[in-house]
Amino acid sequence: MTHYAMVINLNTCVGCNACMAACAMENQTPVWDTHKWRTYVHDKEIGVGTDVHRRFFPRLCNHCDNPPCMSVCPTGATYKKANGIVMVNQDQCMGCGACAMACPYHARVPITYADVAKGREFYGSDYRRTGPSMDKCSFCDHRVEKGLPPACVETCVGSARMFGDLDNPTDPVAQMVASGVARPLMPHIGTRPNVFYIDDLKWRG
Amino acid sequence: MAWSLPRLSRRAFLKTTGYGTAGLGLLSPVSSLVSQALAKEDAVREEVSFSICNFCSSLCNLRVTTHTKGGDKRIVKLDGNPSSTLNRGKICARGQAGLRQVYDTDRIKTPLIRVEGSKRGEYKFRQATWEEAWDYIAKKSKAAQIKPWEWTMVGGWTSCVFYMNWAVPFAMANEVPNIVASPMQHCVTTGHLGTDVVTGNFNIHDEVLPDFDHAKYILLVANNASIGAVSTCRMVRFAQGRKNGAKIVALDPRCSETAAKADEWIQIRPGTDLAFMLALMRILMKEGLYDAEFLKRHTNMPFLIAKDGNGEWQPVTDAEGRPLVVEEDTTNLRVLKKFSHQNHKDADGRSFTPGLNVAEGFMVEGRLVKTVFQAQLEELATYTPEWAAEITGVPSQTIARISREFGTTRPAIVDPGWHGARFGNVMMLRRVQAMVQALTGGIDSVGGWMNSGELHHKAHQMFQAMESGYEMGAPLANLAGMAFAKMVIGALSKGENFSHGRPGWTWAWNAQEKAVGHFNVALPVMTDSGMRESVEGKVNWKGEPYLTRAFIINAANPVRHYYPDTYWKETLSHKNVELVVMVEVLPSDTAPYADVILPNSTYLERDEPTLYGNGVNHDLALTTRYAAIESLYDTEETADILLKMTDILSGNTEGFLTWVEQLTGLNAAAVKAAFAETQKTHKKGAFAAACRRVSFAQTAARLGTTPEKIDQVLRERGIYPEEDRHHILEQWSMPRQMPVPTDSGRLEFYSGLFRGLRDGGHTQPNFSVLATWIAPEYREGQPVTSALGVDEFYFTYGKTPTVSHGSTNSNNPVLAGINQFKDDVYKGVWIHPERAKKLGIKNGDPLKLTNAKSGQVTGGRAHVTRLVHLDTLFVYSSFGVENKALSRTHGDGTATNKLIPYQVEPVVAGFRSQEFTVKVAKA
Repeated sequence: MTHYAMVINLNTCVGCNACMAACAMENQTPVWDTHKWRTYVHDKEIGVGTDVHRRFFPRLCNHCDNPPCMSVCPTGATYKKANGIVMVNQDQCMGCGACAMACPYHARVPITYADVAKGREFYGSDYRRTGPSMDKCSFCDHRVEKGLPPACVETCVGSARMFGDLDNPTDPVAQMVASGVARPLMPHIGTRPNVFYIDDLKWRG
Repeated sequence: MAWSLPRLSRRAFLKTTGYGTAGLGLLSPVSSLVSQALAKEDAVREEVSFSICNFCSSLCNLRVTTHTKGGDKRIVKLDGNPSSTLNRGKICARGQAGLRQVYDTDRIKTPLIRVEGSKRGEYKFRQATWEEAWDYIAKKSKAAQIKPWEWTMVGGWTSCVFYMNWAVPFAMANEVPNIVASPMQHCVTTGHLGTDVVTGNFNIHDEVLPDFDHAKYILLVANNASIGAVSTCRMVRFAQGRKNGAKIVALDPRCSETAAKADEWIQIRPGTDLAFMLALMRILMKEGLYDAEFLKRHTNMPFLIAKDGNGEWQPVTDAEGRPLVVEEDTTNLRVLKKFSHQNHKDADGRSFTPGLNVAEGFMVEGRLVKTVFQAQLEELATYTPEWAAEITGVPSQTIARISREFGTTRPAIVDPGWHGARFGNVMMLRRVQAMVQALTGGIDSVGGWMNSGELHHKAHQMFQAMESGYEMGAPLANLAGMAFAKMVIGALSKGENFSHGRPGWTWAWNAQEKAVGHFNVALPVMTDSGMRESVEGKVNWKGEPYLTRAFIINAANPVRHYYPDTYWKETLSHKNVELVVMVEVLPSDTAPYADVILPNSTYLERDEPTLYGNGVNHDLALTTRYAAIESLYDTEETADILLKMTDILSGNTEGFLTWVEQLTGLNAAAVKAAFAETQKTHKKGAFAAACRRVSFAQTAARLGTTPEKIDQVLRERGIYPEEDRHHILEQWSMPRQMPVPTDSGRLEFYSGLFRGLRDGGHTQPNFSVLATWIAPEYREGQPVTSALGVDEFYFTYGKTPTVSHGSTNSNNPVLAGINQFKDDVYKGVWIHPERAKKLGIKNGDPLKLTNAKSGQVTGGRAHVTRLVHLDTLFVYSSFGVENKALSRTHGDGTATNKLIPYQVEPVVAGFRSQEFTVKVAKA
């Protein structure tokens, strides 16, 4: 079996935002609305007192193994492929937004009629959308099917984002997850997410 | 799915509620969507071509994907070229977003001519044809009788990097001795010149790519641009170094993107990094933490110097001017070759080891001599960690510890550093950094600094020519490092190069000033020093006025990123200025000051006029651009524009072709013949196409292959490899195998260049022949450590990783969207909470910023954060655009050049753009 996952090494993410731009261009997202990125990079100040640290934190859909978005979807538009990728069928989605409410990682955004109209103008003859729907990261499923990594991973200048198969014991991504050095967000809530982060604080001198 | 629900599709939903497609029209203003959705999808043809990114000096190799659907071909995706060893298949946000520059609705689509009755400063233009535009220029320059020397060319960095070899020929052929080149006073001649006097390089960020992959210690000093801001070819290597466990230390008053990746972020008082580095250098030299063999063999540290009657260190040479050294542990004098990469064979070819020290009181022909090493160590004597701690605010134990860590870890890198235009002492800072790097032996070595494949190639050819005694002819662009700089400086600074006898007004002005005892700028290389004076009629040359009455501004935006903003606005608006011609893609803040705007095609719409090397890559390879689509609008190529301008201004197109040959090696006769053909087939860019054809042919001849073969490889892979870095370093490592392009061929701690300038009367500390301390002057007459007022701060700025410095790409919709997402961090004024609290300032509050030195006032919005030094404000300089024609970015953020006055240092008129304090109040 294939079980796709992403590991993000916070030690080499330099907050360049290449991933945000690459994803937007690859997936024709509504860049005119700054709340509708499929992936984005937080720029955070953490620590107390003089122990202050600046952390760049890439976020995206976690393609959970127990996805709340799928549980609540009334139409079946949200589904999970055998390779682990959680997908949205744009034609089946009716835009109720329950998934966005259910997702604890705030990974879902609505693409509206206005967005689609704008998209036709912005992306021209190449625009692939035919109508509105809820939207989220697809792990660039259309690329993965061709043996290519997701657009964000391919362009990541710091090689912070890594993509692989948890079911392949020789895959470095699987090894990093198995060793515990890469950990997911909110593992206690039972979503069983598949995006893992390597901490940047342990490395500090 | 957890439950089974009836399958409910949107269409089924709509049917059950009784609305059909007609009803859908009531819900959505775009009812045609549905019919389009139901239409059959056309087939899409995908094609791939290759190009070079245009948004920073990394010059990343691109793979460009187009889709053709229904006869419409569009660029749909940019990626790093996976075959590129330069950027390793990666590109940054600017690179990824680049295709949206092509489709930017704000683009200049036709030539534009100023609306009659409007004045410069107003963005009021009417569309025109190219014929009208050329006619306008011809009529205006003729009617106003603009002399060749009354023209000034202004070039931005893209025009410098890609079109220097056409811009300089334009200047020479039309006898225009004036070029203001935008990265000079900001970067290339300020900080970089400091590095250059040690290593012989010229343009550091185009010539040196440190080998971060293999470094074990990486020190970054007042430097974010080369890593985090982001230089992709460097960041990919830095990331690997980090993954390999390198220790990373960053000196910065704010937690930059780079400092965020460091193991230690050391908050340092802005402008005092030089003190830190001098203390570090002292510890390395005093405690023996240097590569002694390397210093003896390949630097001028063993050379003898002596103080003259004026207390000036002078070289001690033989009668022929050759350097003298003392054989190690003896008193034997040895003579060395004037120009060589090594010191272990004397002028007669005998092997020996020169000493780094001579005995106290050693005399040569009645003069007390020391080695450069000894003199330099003496100069450093007072620069203890305690001394540096007081100036920098960094604890002395930290300074000492970092120094020893750096000194005992190999290989180590202190990044050369960019953007020297912050304080007058940054040139010296970068020089000391280069010296420190040389102390470790890490010049052109694994895990250290490494020159590009191209530089090695050029240097090798140049030194062969020197050895064989023949003069280097075309291509002059192949002069390596400082030799190239001297050629360009020589071209524009000597009136005898022009039939009218005038050098550039910047040279004339500074000579004029020097004659009355004002030693303003020693080397005004392509600067704006004297520009206003020339326009106003205050510059004279041999008794006659030297006016500036016309400008041609190519891909440059001086109104936004020179200082202050009013300088260029007022100068370009002056009544003496008859004509301003601009070549641009988008309506920048300088555009409202033009009379005629000539639209350039974007980088993705063009076949470049020549083949290029692979930028700063260690490997030697050929690249170029292939147009991914045909030009969308009525645009033209730069080479063709310059040719036509030559035709109008002087008629000397033959001369232009000859000079192009001089710079590039492209045979003028061959270009002329090719041009006769391409003019028949190319409506636009015919000259560029002709040059390209000849470039391919000549390169093929050099490589022993065919132009078709080169074309095939470039179309398939985007890179034509020539030589890999291992082989290059084995043969051509500088200085281990070959000289460096300094005057002596060795790395220079004692600077021959500054010796010359000092002898010419420039004696400020900036011109010191050895490394020395130069204090920043935030407030006139006040020492560095004097206390700040409760509302007073130091000032620092930097670029976001999403906007190229001084460019229009903040208008790019993708980048504008990302900047909007990061609004609070990117567009606020960073202020520390402890200081903000005392001033009653909360996060988001509007601020009034006043430059305490100049009185300039501007506004901003508070971003309260601990990620900045207590006493320092930080602003991202990527914003502050004024021209409303840039619809997505105007009015955003703070324009830093509204707060920064005209202050320059005396060597190259490098801007001292942070050398003041700022007062902050709630607005």
